[in-house]
Amino acid sequence: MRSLFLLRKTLVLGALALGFLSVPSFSEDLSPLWQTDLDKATLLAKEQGKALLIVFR
Amino acid sequence: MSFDGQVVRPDQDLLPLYNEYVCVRVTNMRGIDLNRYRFDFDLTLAVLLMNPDGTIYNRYGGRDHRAADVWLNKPSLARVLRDGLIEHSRYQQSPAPPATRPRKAIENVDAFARKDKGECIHCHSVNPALREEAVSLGNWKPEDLWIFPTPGHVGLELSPTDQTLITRIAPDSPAAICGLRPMDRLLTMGGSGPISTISDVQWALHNQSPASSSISVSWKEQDGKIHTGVISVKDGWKQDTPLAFSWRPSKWGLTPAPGFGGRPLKRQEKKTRGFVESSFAFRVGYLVTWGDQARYGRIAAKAGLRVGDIVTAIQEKGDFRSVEHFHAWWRLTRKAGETVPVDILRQGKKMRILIPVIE
Repeated sequence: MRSLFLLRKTLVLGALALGFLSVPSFSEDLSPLWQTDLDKATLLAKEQGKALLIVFR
Repeated sequence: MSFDGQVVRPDQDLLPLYNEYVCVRVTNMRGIDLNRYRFDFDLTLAVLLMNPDGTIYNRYGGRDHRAADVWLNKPSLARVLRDGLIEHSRYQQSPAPPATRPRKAIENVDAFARKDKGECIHCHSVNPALREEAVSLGNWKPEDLWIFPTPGHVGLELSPTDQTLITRIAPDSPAAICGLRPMDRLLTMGGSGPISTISDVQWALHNQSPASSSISVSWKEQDGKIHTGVISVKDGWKQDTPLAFSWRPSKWGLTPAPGFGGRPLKRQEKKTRGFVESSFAFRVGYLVTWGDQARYGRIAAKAGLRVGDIVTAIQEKGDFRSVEHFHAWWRLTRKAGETVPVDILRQGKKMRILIPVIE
């Protein structure tokens, strides 16, 4: 019974760890959409004729 | 996921709108031109939709004392993103770049520079530094405290999900006298660009004089008929209550300060001690005996207050909604020379501590 419990606990913790490791960091996850340098983004918007969407957080 | 998380990781149905913009996320105010990127720096989330020439089309964000996300939701975000694109398209037909103002970064403001440790600068560090600068230059006026007034100051209540839609008008308010009615939609206000959000309304109101003034407004009735009018406000119309001010992190820089604070009692502890669940009670977790405001903590300690005391009323007021409310109340209403009675429980015994208010 105890070994079954330990096995189940190990599996759950392992799954959680894998899930955690697979969550991308902010930069990996968002880099295609989000700029982080406001001056560069402003130049880019000028070049592309786009408006800026700036999130201050 | 928090709303901030939703903003930076948009759903598939919002993504096409995002792709029409160049998206930037700014988490450090160092180097940011405060004269160009103007918003309510007390907010934890603020969005600007703008032309790269500095023209701001719309603003998104805003909050009040109830919660940080009262005005943040997907329908209103989607709407402002669409409105921003419409305005961008219209603006490009006849651009009118704003006059260039001298660049001003927070790290170049003396009041901030003196304490600058070279770390990341949060938005909420800006207002206290600007206020300190204004005080030192002799430009500070008490009415300058009341920034970004909510629509309620002119009698308007807006829909959180469709923030141009008026849901209620306070009877006899400036908006009611102007002729605005529930179910009307705001179009423009105070000479600003098109209104899309409560932040746009607050920006329009922010730019009006705190004295008696007339605010131009245009709106659309349900049947599509467009009206223009003037909202007349009286002297001091921007002033608000300590409760309404309580969410602002810039309150911490105001004086006189109580010199102590702590966490509210948990529900279970209130129950154990026989308090009503909604009652105001917090445990003193600290006395500020360090830094710029050490004098306040020291005088509270000298008066007899101790860490661990449970505060149940201040000046016989036990109806504070939160510890933040208490802090805002003290700073906004107490004057040097007064003595404030603070009712506490110490080891189950009721006591009253008299704390002198000093400059």
